[in-house]
Amino acid sequence: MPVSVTSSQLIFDALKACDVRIVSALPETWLVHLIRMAEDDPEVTLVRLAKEEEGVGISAGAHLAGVKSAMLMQNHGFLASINGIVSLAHLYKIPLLMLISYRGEFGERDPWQTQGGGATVPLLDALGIPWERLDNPDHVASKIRKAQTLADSALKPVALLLCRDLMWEE
Amino acid sequence: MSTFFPRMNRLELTRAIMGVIDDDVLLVAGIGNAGFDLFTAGDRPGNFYMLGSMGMAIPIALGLALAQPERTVLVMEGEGSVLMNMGGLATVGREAPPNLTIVIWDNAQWQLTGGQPLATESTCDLAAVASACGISETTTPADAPAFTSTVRRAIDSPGPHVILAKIDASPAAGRHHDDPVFLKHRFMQAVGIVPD
Repeated sequence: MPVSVTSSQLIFDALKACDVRIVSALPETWLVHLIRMAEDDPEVTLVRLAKEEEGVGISAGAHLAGVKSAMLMQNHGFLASINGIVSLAHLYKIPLLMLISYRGEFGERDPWQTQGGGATVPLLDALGIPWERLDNPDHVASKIRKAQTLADSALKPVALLLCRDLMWEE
Repeated sequence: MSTFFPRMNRLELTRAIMGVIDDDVLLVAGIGNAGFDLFTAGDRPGNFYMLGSMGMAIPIALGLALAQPERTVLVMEGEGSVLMNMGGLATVGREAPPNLTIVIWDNAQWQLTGGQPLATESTCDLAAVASACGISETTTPADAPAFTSTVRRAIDSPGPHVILAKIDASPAAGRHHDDPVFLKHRFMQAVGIVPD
């Protein structure tokens, strides 16, 4: 499976450098190495979710308790999380660091990923969630750190879109 | 379910919870009546009242319990909200935080919207769901004294615990504060975190 181990490691190391200690995740192909790294790291608690919206609540609870967290999800998981994002994170002004694998862009072969791909950025914009693409390994560490900084200062969700050029090697 | 449970009163049971917990126990209340009766039974900074995001109380409590493993966390959530995010019980069962107790208020109706029936009225037993999710410490107390002793045992012994309380449809008497940022800051101070 040509998911980039190198980029996954860069992302995971960046999360560790940001003091992220709780990671919630629901698997998707591009995230498998990242999730395994979180599982294998004794300093990180990986919470395997039944549905991505649970991750909003877990991150909120962690924030109330002073612990940094991150959410790993596919963009369709973001779509499945929207009420939690709006009615919990936005309402209570809770920072969320969302790492969203951005399926359905140029190069996507799976028809079922394409509709969600087209809806992702318009929905992030509609919700007022700052986002950036993560498509260059050289930018991973700095963009993740800056995303967390903005989430913590603005007290709101921020999103990094994990792009094909970063996550998929073929 | 063939067992007959006389229905208990949510405010009375919430007061019973307040009577047996230590001051440092963190309480999370789901939207609506769970929070309203918690406010009436004993408002305190260590109460986190949810607004708006139905189904999120148990994940919030799970995040708290994982982030503060030395603190006891007790969440009160309505049965409709549990149904909305039933997968959350599976996540709790898998993570199995020993410091988490979940109280489910079940009056078999969406009470705030006029008492429409839901699946726990007839076919769905949320205690069986919780047990099947691997939460072995799951109890359906038969009456208020049994409820009180179950709560006391839950907070004194490793969990996670689920306590399913069959309650009546008495309306909540009070209303908690509804400024989310105020509620958040006050709660974070109770946790011992410098508020953001």
